[in-house]
Amino acid sequence: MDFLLDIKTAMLPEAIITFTILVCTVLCFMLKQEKQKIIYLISLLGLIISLTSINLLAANKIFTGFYNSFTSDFFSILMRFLILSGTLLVIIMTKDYSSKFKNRQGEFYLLMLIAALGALLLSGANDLIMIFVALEALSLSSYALSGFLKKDKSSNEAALKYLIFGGASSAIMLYGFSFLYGITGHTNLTEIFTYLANNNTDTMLNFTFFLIIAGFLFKVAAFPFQSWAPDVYEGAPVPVTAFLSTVSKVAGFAILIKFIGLAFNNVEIITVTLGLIALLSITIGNFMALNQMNIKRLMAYSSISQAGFVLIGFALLSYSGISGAIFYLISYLVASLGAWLAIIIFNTQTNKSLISDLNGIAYRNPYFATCFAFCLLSLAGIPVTVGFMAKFYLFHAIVQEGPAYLWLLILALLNTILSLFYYLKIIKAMFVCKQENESFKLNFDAGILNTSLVALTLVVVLLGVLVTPFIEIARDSALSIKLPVKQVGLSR
Amino acid sequence: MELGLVHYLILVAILFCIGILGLIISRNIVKILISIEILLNAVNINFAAFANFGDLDEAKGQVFAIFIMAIAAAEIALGLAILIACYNNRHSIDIEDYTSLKS
Repeated sequence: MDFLLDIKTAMLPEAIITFTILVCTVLCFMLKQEKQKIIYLISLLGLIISLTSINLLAANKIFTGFYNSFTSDFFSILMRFLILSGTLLVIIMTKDYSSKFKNRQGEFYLLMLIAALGALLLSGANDLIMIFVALEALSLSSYALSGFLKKDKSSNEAALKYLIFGGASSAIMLYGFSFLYGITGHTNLTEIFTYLANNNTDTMLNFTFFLIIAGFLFKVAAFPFQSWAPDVYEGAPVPVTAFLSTVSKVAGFAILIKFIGLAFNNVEIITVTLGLIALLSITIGNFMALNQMNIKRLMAYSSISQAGFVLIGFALLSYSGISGAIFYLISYLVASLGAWLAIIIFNTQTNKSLISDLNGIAYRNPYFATCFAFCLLSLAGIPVTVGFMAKFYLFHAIVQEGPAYLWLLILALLNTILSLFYYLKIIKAMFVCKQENESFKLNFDAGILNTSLVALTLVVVLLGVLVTPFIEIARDSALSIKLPVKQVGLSR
Repeated sequence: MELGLVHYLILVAILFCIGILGLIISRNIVKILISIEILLNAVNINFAAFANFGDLDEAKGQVFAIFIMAIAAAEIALGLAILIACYNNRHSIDIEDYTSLKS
């Protein structure tokens, strides 16, 4: 019974999510439309059980199972924790929003859980076939989710654009996979890296590397593949947008890290190219965000630039860079989930999504506005919040690499200042601008949505103050990915 | 002249370019979906060729090609379903008509 043992030691969260999916599928067919609200509770329950089961996985040793196609190390456990808690919050977000789905509520949670399963498998995948299947499980259900409001023209259009871009980029990624398979003769990543370390490979590998990261850059919405993000984020239902900008990004980065190991035969070219991709995503995201009126669109451009910051950590090709990237990813996830929660509370109750609609909301809902403002300040990187510490740690990693990366540091710092403008624009609308014609008051009581918004804001501040243990977690998880990376600036 | 690996690779490169060109220039959404299918099938040929010339024992490339076929079918089915939903709202399958999401 090797198979069951593998599941017990490495894939317990995935197994529980799979079981929940099966239960939800049956219930979707059995229950009447008006009783499908129970699927919401069941999916929440499944996610919570799966989150607690992460504790049972052995964090300190690397486990490979399923014919070496799945690895469970500390890094993948951390990523699975982030993915599961992100999905949990996204599902909580749909509590009031789901009335818009009319009589298809059950399917929404089903698709959301399948997407989460794909993301979970992606974070531990160690075989090209596994990576492809997991990535498509995530992508296909995201396509369906972003078009979930069938009668809504913009939701349709978002799904169509997402599908076309996604199909093309996954085909490019597969073209890269096929060359990687052709060069090495293996589909298992461990065997591929062993082969590459012992054999002198040609320049074809660089070409392959760029083909492969195309698929992952699409998932994280970084520079050459960012154009889908604003359209899809604007058109898709708000919980789905939150899912795409948090969970799906974490999964994309989790798999991108494993392929960084491919870069080590030609360090110079790949460092410079990844650095340029990172800088261009940051700059394009910031400049486009400056004159956006729609909050969802603004957050889309902001998420493009945040993805660029994570990519800077990868471009350094060192353990300190990668641990900086992981910590930045954690901080981005927390702050951006908080911001999306605030947006969804506002959007569900007022059905509006322009920045000017937020005018003067701080006078009527001071707690709501403060929580939203803290999340935005964390995304901008202002001290006391976790975003500042993440940026500080990332820039510290760049400095450690020496003067060769000075250009990266200076341009990233300039962009940080630039990004303040548009985050402060929202804060200014909430705190300074006078309210216009109609005045409405958000219902900000002790409901689950508002409680989680306050909790996330507390996490944003607490992580910014008590930062040391989390930086250590990021460093340990970076070290647990056995990459052929240079060991610069890591006191261990 | 005997058929070698290089010939297959050239065929795949040509097919891939046709697919990308189709994605860029076609306005009909069904044509765009067909172009995606061409891209994925070009990759299939690449995998089968590599498996045939380098990895006869395990033929992992052929296994990969079967996975790609299954998932490509799912993707196109989903794409057509989304297209039908779009068509019900707008009565057009011309990509130029889908411009409501712009800043």
